[in-house]
Amino acid sequence: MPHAELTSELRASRPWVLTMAWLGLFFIALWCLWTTSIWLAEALFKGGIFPKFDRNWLEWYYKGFFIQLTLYAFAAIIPFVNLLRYAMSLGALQDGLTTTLERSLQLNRTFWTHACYLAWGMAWLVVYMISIATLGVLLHWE
Amino acid sequence: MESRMPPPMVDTSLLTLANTRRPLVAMSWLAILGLGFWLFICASMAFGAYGRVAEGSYSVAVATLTWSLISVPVLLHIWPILELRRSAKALATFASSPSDQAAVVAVRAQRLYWRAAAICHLSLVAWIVLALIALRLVIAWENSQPQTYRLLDATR
Repeated sequence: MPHAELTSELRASRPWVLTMAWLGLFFIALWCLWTTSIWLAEALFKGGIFPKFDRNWLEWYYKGFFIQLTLYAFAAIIPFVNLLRYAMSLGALQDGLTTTLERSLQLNRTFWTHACYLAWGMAWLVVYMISIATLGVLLHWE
Repeated sequence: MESRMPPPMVDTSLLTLANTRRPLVAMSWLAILGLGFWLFICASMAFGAYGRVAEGSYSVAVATLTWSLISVPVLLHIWPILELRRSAKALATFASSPSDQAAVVAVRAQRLYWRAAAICHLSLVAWIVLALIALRLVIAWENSQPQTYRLLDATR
């Protein structure tokens, strides 16, 4: 039977992948809720989302950070939905069926590709955050 | 003239696995950077937290200790990252010389990574839940102490 060992290895990983997919989605939901509620609170109670021009220009960098954080939160749904689809496809794997195996491997590749894009985005955000902190300290931002 | 050896024959369905190599290798390095970042956050939190423990309030002590000691489950993340590095190497081996056996080794390495990651993240969630329960209990106990009532009376 072709790929019997490979199929059984993939099937054995299903509970762990499923756990990670649900944990990931739960965390992303919290992240989306948190960022959205801050935007709403700012819009409702502080008279607008964007700062006025007469404020400290470093505020624009702070807003830029938060805009990116919100965008990444919603973008992060995509890889974790793909991870869930991958976990589901592992359950549908059958011995001797190359099509289901191929679909699982494709979903695995899609997840890692999207997760990699997100991770590069987060790495950029860390660099951005450190640069704001450095600028803030250097310019004595209050 | 150097002779080129033909690559070993492998089912085309498995070549999708070889295409996973680049993002997986990138992720394994990014995960190391990410862990370094989180350890930096934990270290700075612990640095700031221990000064506040001296304030004498048990609830502040529990809150700061649990937050600063969160570096313990964060350190546990070294395990899945090691598994991810192994997985990236196994996948690179498969991509350079594809064979059924190499594919099985790569998928097994990924399975071990998923196991480590799931255990590690569940431990992190358990840690946070336990910390919140501990904090709730300490606050409830602290609020029922006679000195708390005396302090409230004095500030009234």
